[in-house]
Amino acid sequence: MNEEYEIDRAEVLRYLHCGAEDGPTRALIDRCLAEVRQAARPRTVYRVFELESIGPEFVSFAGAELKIPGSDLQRHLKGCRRAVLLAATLGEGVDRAIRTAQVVDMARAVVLDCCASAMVESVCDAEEGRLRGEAVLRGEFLTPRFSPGYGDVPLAVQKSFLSVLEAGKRIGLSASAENLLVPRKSVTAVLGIADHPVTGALAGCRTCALRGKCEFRRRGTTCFTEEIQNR
Amino acid sequence: MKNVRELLQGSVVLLDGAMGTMLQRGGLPAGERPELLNLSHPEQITAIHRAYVEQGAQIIYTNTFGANERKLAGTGASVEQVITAGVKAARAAAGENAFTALDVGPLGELLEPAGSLSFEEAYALFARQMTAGERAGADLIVVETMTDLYEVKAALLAAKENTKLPVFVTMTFEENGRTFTGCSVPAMALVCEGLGADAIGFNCSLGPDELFPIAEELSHWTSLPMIIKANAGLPDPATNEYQIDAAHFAASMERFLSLGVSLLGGCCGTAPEYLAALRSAVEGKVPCPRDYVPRAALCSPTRTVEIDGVRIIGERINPTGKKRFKQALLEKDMDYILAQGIAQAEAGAEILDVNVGLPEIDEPEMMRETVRRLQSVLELPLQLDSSDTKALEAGLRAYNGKPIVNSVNGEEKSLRTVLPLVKKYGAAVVGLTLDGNGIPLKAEQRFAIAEKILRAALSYGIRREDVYIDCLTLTASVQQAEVYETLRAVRMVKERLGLHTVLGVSNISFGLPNRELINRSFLLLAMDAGLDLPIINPNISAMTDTVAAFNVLANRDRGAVRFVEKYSLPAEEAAAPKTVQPGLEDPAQALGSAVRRGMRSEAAALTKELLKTREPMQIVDGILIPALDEVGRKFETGVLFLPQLLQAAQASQEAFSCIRDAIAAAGASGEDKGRIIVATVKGDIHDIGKNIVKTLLENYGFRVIDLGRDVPPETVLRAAQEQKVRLIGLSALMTTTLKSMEETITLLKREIPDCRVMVGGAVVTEDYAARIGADYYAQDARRSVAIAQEFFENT
Repeated sequence: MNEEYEIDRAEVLRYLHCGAEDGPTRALIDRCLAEVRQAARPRTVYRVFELESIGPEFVSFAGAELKIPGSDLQRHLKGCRRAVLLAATLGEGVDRAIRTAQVVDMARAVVLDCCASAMVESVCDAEEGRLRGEAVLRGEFLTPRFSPGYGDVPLAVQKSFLSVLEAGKRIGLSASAENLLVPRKSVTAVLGIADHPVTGALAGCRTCALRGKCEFRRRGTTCFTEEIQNR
Repeated sequence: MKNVRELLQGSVVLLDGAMGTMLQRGGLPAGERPELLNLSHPEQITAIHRAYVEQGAQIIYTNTFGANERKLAGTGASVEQVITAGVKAARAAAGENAFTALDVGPLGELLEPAGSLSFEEAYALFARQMTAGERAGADLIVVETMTDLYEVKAALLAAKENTKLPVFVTMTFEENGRTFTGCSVPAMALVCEGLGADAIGFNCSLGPDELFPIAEELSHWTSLPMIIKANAGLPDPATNEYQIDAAHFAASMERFLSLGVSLLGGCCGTAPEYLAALRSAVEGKVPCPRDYVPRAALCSPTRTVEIDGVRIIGERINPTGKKRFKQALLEKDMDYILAQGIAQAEAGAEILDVNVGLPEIDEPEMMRETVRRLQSVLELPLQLDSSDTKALEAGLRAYNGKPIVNSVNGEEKSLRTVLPLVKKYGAAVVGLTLDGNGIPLKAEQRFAIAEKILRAALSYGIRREDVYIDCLTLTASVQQAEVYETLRAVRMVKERLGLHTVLGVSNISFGLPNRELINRSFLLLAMDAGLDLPIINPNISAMTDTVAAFNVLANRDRGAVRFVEKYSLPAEEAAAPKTVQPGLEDPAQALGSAVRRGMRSEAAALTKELLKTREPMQIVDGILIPALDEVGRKFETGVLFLPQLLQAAQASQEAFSCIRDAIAAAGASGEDKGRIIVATVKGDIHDIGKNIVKTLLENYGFRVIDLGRDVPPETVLRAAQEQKVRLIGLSALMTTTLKSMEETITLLKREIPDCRVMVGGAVVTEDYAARIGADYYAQDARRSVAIAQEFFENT
C-alpha cells in the first residue's frame, strides 16, 4: 500500500531523537512503517490564486476570503505574483492506529507517530514535486512550502485556509476549535509562484515557538539545516 | 399538495441542483459564507430556487448548509436569523409546486475521537438549526454531504427528538465505497434506517457514473427510498471546473432508476439546465422494483458483521468473578478495560459484550465512557450488557453503529422498558427465555417465552431479523438433566421461529474439573442445534478453534477461506513465552536483563516464576526499578533512545501487571508509591507525550490517574479533590494551549494551596513553567519520574 511514497528513514530517526538503531528498534521501525502505509489514505487538494497584496499587514489572495497575517510569509513570497494553497492528509486511519497502539504498546505508538509525520511530509514532497514539474513547463518557479504555525503566521488562519480549499468536502480535512488539523497527520502550506527562480525565506528561529528549548539549537544546528544535510 | 411522506410513495421525485455553484458563478469569493446572502440578498437566493422549481424540482434545499453556530461565529448573524431568512427565500420560490427542505451540512469540526467536538455538543448544534428550521416552516430536513456516521447519528437524533419533520440523509463517498472517515455503505444503511431516517443516499464528491456501483451496494442494504444527488463529474484540481455536461449527466442519472432509486437531483457543478435535462430523461418513467432482502447484521462505521454463520461474542469485558476487572472499574482504569477489548479482537472475537455493572459505581456513566473509549480504538460492533435501562440507554446513545442490547426477558416490565429503547436507537436485541417465574425447565416453555418476546418486539416495530433468542445455559454440575432442554429449545427457536440464537457458554462447566473440555463439547452441540452467537472467552484457542471448524463443517465458511487463512500460517507465534529453566540462569538476573532488552513476554514469564518464591514488592524494588534506572541513565546520557526506553518500560509493565494480579488475587489492594494525576490541558489533543510520562511513572510503582486529553481545569480540580491527590502533571504541545495550562494551575493553586504541579510538553520552557506558577518543570518523561520520587520522599 502507498508504495509510491518514499518515507525518509533518517527523518523518522530525527523525529525520534534517535541517534543509532539497535536490532529491536530497527525491527520496530520497519513494522511501523509498514503499518502506517497500510493505514494511510493520503489525499491532497490545492488551488492557485493571484496574490492580491503582500504586506504590510498581511498577504491576501484574489477571489478568496483569506488574509494571512505576519511578516515571515511576506518575506517568503517576495517576488511572487501567484501562490499555491496546498492541503494534504493521511486520513483518520492513521490516527486510529496510533490511538490503539497507545493503549497496548507505547513504544510502537511513538514510533508510529514519527513514521506518520515522516509520511505526510513525503506526501507533500510528492505533490510539491509534481507542481514544480508543471511550473517548469510553464517557465515558472516555486518557493518551498511555508505552513501556518511557522514563524509569526498564526494557526488561527487554518479555518479560513481550509474553507478556501473546501478541504472538508474534498479531502476530509478540518480544524478543531483550537485550530489543530484533524485528522492529525495533515499539512497546509503556501508555495509562491514566480517567473524567475525563487528560494523563499523560511521563517528561521527568530519567531519560532520552540526557540527557547530547541534540541537542534542546543546541538548548534537547526531543524532546517539538519534536514538539508540529510538529503 | 401531498405531504412529503406521501410524495415518497409515488414514482420519481426530482430534487434541485447546486446552490454553491450558482452562487460562485454569481461572483461569491472562495471561502465566503454563502448563507449570509439569505439576509443581505434574499432575492438572489429566491431567484436560484425559482430556476430549479421552474425546471421541475419537487423538493428544494434551503441555502443553510453551514448555518450552524460554529460556522456563523463572528459573522454577526444568528443561526435563527440565517435559517429563518433561508427558509423564507426558498418558500417564496416553492409556492405550491415544491417542498422546502432545511439543508443541514457537516458542522465543520470533526467529532471525537478524531476531533475534539463531543457527541452531545454536536447534537445541541444540530438541534438549534433544526428547531429554527421547523419554526420557520420547512417541510422536511435533509442532512447532507456527511462523512462521519457519528455526526449523522447526532443529526438524526436531534431531528427526531426536537421536530416532527421527515428527515433525509445523504453521505459523501469515495470511489472505494467508503467515506473519508472509513464509513461503509452497509453501516450507513443499518444505522440510518435504525434511527428512523425517511430516505437515504449519496450526494457530492463523485459524478453519477462513479456513484453507480456504490448505489447498487446500498440498494441491497436498505428498504428506504434512495436518493442520488451527484456532482457534474469530478472537478479539475487546478480550475475547479466540473467535467460533464447536462446531457451526459442526465443520461447517467437515468440509469439509477434500474436500481430502484426514486429521488434524483444534482450537487456541485450542476445548474438549472442539468435539472431540465434530467427531467426530460426520467419523465414518465418509474423506478424498478427494489432488490432487497432483510438481513441480520450489526456494525460499527467501518466493520459490518452479518449473522450468516457462527460469530463469536467476546465475554471478557465483565466484572463477574474477576477481581482485577472490578478494581479497574472502581479506579476508572480505562486502559485495562480497553486492553481486554483489544486482546479479544486479536484472538478472533467479532462482537464484544460490554458489561460494566458494579453496585459501587455510576453504571450509566461508566457504560457511556467505556463505549466511547472502546470505539475510539476498536472496530468491532458491541453488545451492551446491563440490567439497568439507564445504562443501556447511555450506551445506545453513545454508540457509533448498530449494537446488540443484552437483554430483554419475557416479563411485561422488561418488555415495556427495554424494547422501546431498542426501537428508538435501531439496535438488535437479545431475548432471554425467562420471566417472573424464573427459567422454565422444559424446552417448550422456553420456546413459548421466545414467541412472546418476538411478538412484543414486532409490535414495537422492531424487525424480526433483529431479535436474537438466548435459551439460557444451565450449569451441568447442578442441573444435568436440563442441559439437553437448552439444546432442544435452541433448535425449536431456530427451526420454528427462524430467529438467530445466543448462548453464554462458559456457565455450563461451573464446578467441574477440565472446564475447557466441557465448554468446547457443549459449544459444538449447541452450534449443531442452531447456535449462531456463542458468548465465550476468545482468548482460549480451543473455543475459537471449535467455532472455526464448525463453520467449515456446516458449510458456512464457504471454501474454508477463513479457516485456511487462519491456520495455514507458520506458527511463528510459538516463539512467545519461554519457560524458565531453573538453574541455568538466575531468574532475578534474567528478569533484569529482559526488562533492559524490552522483552515483554519473557519478563512476564520470569515474574510469574519469581512470584512463587519472593514477595511482590521485593521484585519491584530489587529488580525492576534498578533495571529501569539503568535504562534511564543510558537514555539521559544519549546511549539509548526513546524507543528503547519505552520498550524497557513496557517489559517492566508486563512484570508489574503480573505482580498486580498476584496482589489482587491475594485480596490486598496493592501498595503504591503515591498517586499522581496526569492530563493534557483543555484544547490540546496531542496526548502522546503525556502517555509516555504515564508509562514511565507506572513503571516506578506510582499509581497514575489519567484524565486524558482536552481536559478542562475544573475536571482536574475535581479529580484532585475527590481522589485527594497532591501531585498533578499537566502537558501541552501547542503555544495556543499554554493559556489553558496557566488557567489550570491558577485554579488548582487557589483551591488546593498545598498541591504541586509539574508541567511539560514541546513548547513549555523552564522559564515559562516558573512564570505560570508550576512547581516543577519536566523537560522529558524521565525527569517526571525523578520529580515524583523527590515529591513523595518529602511528603
